[in-house]
Amino acid sequence: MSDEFEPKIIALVCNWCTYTAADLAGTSRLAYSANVRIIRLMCTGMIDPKYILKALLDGADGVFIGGCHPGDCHYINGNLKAKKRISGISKIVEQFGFDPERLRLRWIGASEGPEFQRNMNEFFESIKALGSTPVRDRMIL
Amino acid sequence: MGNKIAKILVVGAGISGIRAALDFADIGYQVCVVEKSPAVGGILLQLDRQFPNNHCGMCRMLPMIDRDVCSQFCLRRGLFHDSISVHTSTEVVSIEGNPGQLKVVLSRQPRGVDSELCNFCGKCEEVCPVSVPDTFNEGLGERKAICLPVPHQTSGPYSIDWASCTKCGECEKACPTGAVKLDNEHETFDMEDVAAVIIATGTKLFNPDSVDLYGCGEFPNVVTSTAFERIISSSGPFKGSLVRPSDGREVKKVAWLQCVGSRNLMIGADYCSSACCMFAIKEALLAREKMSKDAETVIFYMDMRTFGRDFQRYRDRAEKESGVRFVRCRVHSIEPGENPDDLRLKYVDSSRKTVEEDFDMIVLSTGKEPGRKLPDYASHEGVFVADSAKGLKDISGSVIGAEVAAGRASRMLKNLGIMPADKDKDQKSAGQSKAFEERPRVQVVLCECGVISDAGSLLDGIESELEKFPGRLDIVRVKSLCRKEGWDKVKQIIRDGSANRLVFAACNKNVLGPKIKELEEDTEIFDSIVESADIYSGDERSIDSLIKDLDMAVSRLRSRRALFEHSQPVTGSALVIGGGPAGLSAALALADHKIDVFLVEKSETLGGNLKYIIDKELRQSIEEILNKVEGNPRIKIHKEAELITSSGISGNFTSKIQMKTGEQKTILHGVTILATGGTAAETDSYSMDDHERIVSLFEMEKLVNDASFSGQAVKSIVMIQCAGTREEPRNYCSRVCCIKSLNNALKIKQIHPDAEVYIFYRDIMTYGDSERIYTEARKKGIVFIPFDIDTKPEVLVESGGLLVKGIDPVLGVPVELKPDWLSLAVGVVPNFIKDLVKIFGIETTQDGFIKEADSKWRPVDTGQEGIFVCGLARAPARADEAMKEGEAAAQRALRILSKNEIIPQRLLARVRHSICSMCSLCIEVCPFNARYIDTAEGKIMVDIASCQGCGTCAAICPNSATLIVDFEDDGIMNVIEAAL
Amino acid sequence: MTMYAILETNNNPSETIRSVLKNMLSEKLVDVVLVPFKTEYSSLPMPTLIADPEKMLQAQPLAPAAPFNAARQAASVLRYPTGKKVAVVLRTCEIRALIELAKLKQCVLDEAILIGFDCMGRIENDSYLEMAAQEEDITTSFYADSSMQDRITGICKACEYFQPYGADLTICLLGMPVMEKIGLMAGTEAGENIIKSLGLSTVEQPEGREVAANSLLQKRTEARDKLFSETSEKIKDIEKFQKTIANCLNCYNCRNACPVCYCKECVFLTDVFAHEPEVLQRRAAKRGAVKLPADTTMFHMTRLAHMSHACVGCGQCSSVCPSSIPVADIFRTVSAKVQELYNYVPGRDISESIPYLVFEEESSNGK
Repeated sequence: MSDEFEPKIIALVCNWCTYTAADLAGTSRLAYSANVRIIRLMCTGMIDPKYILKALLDGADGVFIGGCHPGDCHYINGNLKAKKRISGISKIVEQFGFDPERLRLRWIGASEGPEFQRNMNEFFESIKALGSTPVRDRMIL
Repeated sequence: MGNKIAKILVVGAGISGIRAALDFADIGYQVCVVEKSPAVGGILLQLDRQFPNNHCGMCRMLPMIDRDVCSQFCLRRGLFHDSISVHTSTEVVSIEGNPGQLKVVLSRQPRGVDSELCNFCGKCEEVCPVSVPDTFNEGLGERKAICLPVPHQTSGPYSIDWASCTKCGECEKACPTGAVKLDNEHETFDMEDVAAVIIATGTKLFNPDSVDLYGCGEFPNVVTSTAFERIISSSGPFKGSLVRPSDGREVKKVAWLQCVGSRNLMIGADYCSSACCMFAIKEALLAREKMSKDAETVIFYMDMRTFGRDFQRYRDRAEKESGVRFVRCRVHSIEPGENPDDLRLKYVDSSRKTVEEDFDMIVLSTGKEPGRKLPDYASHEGVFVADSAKGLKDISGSVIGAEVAAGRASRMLKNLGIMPADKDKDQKSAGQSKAFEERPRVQVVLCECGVISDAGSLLDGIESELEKFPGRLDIVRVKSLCRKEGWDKVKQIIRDGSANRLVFAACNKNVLGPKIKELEEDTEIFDSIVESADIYSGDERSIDSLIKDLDMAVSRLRSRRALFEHSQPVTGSALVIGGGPAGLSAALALADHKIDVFLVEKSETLGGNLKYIIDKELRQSIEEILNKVEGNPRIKIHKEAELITSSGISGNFTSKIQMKTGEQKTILHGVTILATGGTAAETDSYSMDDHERIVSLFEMEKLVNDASFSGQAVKSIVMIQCAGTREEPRNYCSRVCCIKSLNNALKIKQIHPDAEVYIFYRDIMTYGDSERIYTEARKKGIVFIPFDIDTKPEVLVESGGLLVKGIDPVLGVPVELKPDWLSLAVGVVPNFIKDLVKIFGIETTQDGFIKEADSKWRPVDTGQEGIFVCGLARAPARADEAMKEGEAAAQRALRILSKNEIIPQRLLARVRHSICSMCSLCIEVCPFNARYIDTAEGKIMVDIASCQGCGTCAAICPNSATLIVDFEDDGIMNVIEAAL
Repeated sequence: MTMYAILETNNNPSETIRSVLKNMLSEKLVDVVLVPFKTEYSSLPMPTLIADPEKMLQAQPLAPAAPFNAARQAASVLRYPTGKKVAVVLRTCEIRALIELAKLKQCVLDEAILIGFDCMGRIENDSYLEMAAQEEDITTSFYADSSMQDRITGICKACEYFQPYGADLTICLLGMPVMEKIGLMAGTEAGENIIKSLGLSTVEQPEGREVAANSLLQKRTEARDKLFSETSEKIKDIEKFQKTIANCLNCYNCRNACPVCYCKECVFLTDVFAHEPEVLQRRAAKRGAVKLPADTTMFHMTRLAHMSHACVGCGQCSSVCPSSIPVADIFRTVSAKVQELYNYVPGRDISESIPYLVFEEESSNGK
């Protein structure tokens, strides 16, 4: 392994669309960074702000949130609720020096394996450009 | 395949087949689904997004109450249900015997790959030397002879296309697990004791290659609508960019030609395929999302058949907001343009000028293939045919048709005394498992693999890292988990050990999935306490990265805990509100299932709009049901009664009705079906009230069917369609008017052959087989004059007579008509039900129709579980359609009524009352209205029938007083921690 | 037109208000009054529920101190309708918090008469007690001597919400010669009825009020912006923020003092943060060292996530912090941005939905 900065990314994805897309990307052998850790949730509407804070404070360089396209949500509109909550948490963390770019919300449909790959690669690159998280190697109280 | 005794056989695994299968499984039957193709899902597999909202949402067909028996997974990727076994590449050969005990002979084509062994590594595909046009992508791009038949499905293994396979044996050699078997002998097998069969084979689409004027197959840029779907699909041949097949250039201008293979007498297609108009508009809208702003999308049509409730507004938005151009003209041929890749259309525009226009791409809106007949066994007793197997249906039509077929079959079975297995008894809730009573003990099973040679050193590395984990982890290595020997060893380890959680470090989890289900039967282990990490697939990864995956799996398992919800009893009776055709048929369908029904009707008679219906056959069919309802001891009829209150949750409602006398009665019921109906609309357009000879089409119907009509001197009659409808504020098609007007016109011609009949219309909505009436009307010399919303005919009352002014469609000159009668197609409106809407907390559309939970997938459910809607209350419908909807609603209701109690599912929200502050944010955000305050207890409760475990409540609850089992906050945060 | 009455104060504005409240009780316009009250044992005015008009003598409705934000106490009296009228005399930040609590179904305001006053700020408890040891009637001197008003808390100095929102009655001090007279203004029909029933003669609102309000607003806004920029500096990166909260003891006083932290039990006291030993040990193994109690930063940021949209800036969190962490400064600063994002002012209007309950339905293509 080289010493090059390899961002650590947490992807919180919904069971119905984005997780399925991620799985499809996997079975279609569409590669993206091995440093992306996918965490399947039932819906993006399930994402408690605590999860995002936890990820950032535990040293994630980026947090990706992937849900169904508006209208496709298995639970009607959980994705839109998530969008609203995430806008708030983003506003908070940005004031503590976390670049809001470290949080990214995207809609990726179940059959959009290539979209998932593209999004992962784009996010990976953009985090790479941002550099390491400010919490890196720090003791966070 | 399992050895389950299939009680119900469903033929076809498209939308209808899946719906029917799930319906039967939901009420407790074992179901076997056979599908001719190698994959489950039907045409939907190729379509990412569907009208009328450009979304998918197929997953909304999945069970909502007994969810644990069905995987919570995108249905386009496969159907997994404990009570449903699926046989792909299988066809029915014959059906014999008596209903209840049918014998079905089936024929199966081997896939060539053993599903138990295939681990999706794809090596076979890599080595396969045969490349053929990709059938899944409608011939665009190539695939190998061995492939995943549906690239996004991993529910079945790789599969060999025998038509192109050369049996060279390369794949067999390359397969690391020995899953490939190059044996394509068809296998015939019998299925005995089949209680009923549902035919849901769907409709084959017309192949336009035979119409040489369109050059499909010759011009690469002329594609079918299905091929277009593949082009714009992100999983398609061009990864979702809209480019043309010939040269990969970005598409700037694309046209749709409607009615290719439909409404064409030359090929014997005297029908409308019903779905293509909306399909084309949707494709145009999806195209516009992908295209640059200045790009053009044009739809060439004869009639834009937007006959669904919200379709007209969809079309209007496409035209006005998204800039889709609509041209009323049937284009007869396609020629190459200046640039040979371009395509030239010659057509007559609205100003009657001939125009030549070049396009980058042309999409043929292909409908149903003509001349296709159902197999002979379809008419065998005990075999029921879903509507979509008879003609092309849109999604909601397919869903309703499937529910109807399933409902009729289950009524027959009830009648024969055939019952589903007693479900309540053997369904144990996974939440009560012993696994949660003790502190978590995790067993890690490392697969040594039988294929990868250096697995040993990898496992050494993993094991030494795992040993550093705090807490106790039992670690064991097993050889070849994918084989029976390996799996037997796992079972042994579980039985001998004391672990109550299980982590597999193996390969693709799709391989393990079905096996884990098997564990449930043989051990105490069930899928909620099993996790797996894929350590072999994909590129080589660092130990650190693999350890993180395992750490996540362990963390996830350690936080899993028991479920505490209790089951909810079900009151096995139904309340049906409205005694029109829809309500009657719903009530009867339920009573036939031996369910008590309270039928509440506001007026003094049952039948609803029956009193206005003249068509003899239709009258008879409604009267027949009416008589059966009135004579059925299970149906308690309350006429002149109104609902005044209703409370409770799915399976358990308490309602009060009030009779005309003022007397009140309390009704306990498990479900409510709203069939409140609709009525003829009123309009003041076209001087409706200014002359006694301007009548509504309903009055016209009465008039022409009256004996006195033949005695009248009738020289000329004018009909104007869409009077006061299909424009704001009543911007929807009423569905019944065109057919009725045409029938009236034919009747007039029959009685007064010399009379002139003129029909002013915007789009003639003779969908499906009713197209025949339109054909006949034209043959009979009825004159059709199209108009647009800006060129409406003018009606004047002059010196006691009527004068109608319009524009001749051919010559473009004004025409003036002096009819004896003017009939206006006023359309229908839903009955006013504001009070009911409030009582039930349901939503209506802007036009006052009751909104379904999902207009495509759950067309007769409302947003409130346990409350259903059918007939005119939901959307404009013909009486025969309304009756079918009634049956469909009854079938949906049976899901609940067939149970003694609703069993809590694993994935549910739970309230920890001791720390709940009752802020009720959860109630407000719940998308299923699954939460309520128990005022007596002062607690926030979860209705386990409605809760789907989406977790939006848990996310908004600040102190985790509400949580989702298996997705608890601490668990998720521990997983995040492990991941970093 | 707003109903406005002038009340003579004769150098004792507290007494004037006391007599109004007393009359409200004795005239049965309300059944009970919740008002700051000086007990026999301490000078600190405690929220007290008074039923007997005679007990009103010890009420300190205008005291420039608030041992805690009394919205919670008001909410406990108003948890559900009882058929009785309850008047509550609260500071502006307390009324705003009470309105937020009502949105969160912690109380019902239908039977409440909200009485607010132009808030000149509060003095920290310890200073107040010191002053009280020397002076009998701090309230009167506080309003008589404007230099005393400089002793209010920093967060009060930066508060631009000094005029009550949505109160039925407002005790108007702004622009008034408080030692001579004050105003009583009705903001609702219920308030008007009380003014009428008390037989107070009404006049047009004196012109000075708006001018005084504007000048105070300007002063407060300047202070606020200064507070924001200084605080932003203290938290602008994680390093600085860690230093700022380094001495946090996880005592949760700030959360207990917070009027809009309405949870029966804070999530940080539940099993969600009661980590198993394996989790803590694994954390230590991965990071080398972990400070305990864990999750201090997580605690503050989670609390922000939960209530920043509803923070009324009362400053009680700072007042109770044993480690002198400027909790209120941080919360006000961070919250201001969140509230701006959602165009939400907590306590502005009871009919205004909590931001997380409203979300736009997007068009199908997500654009």
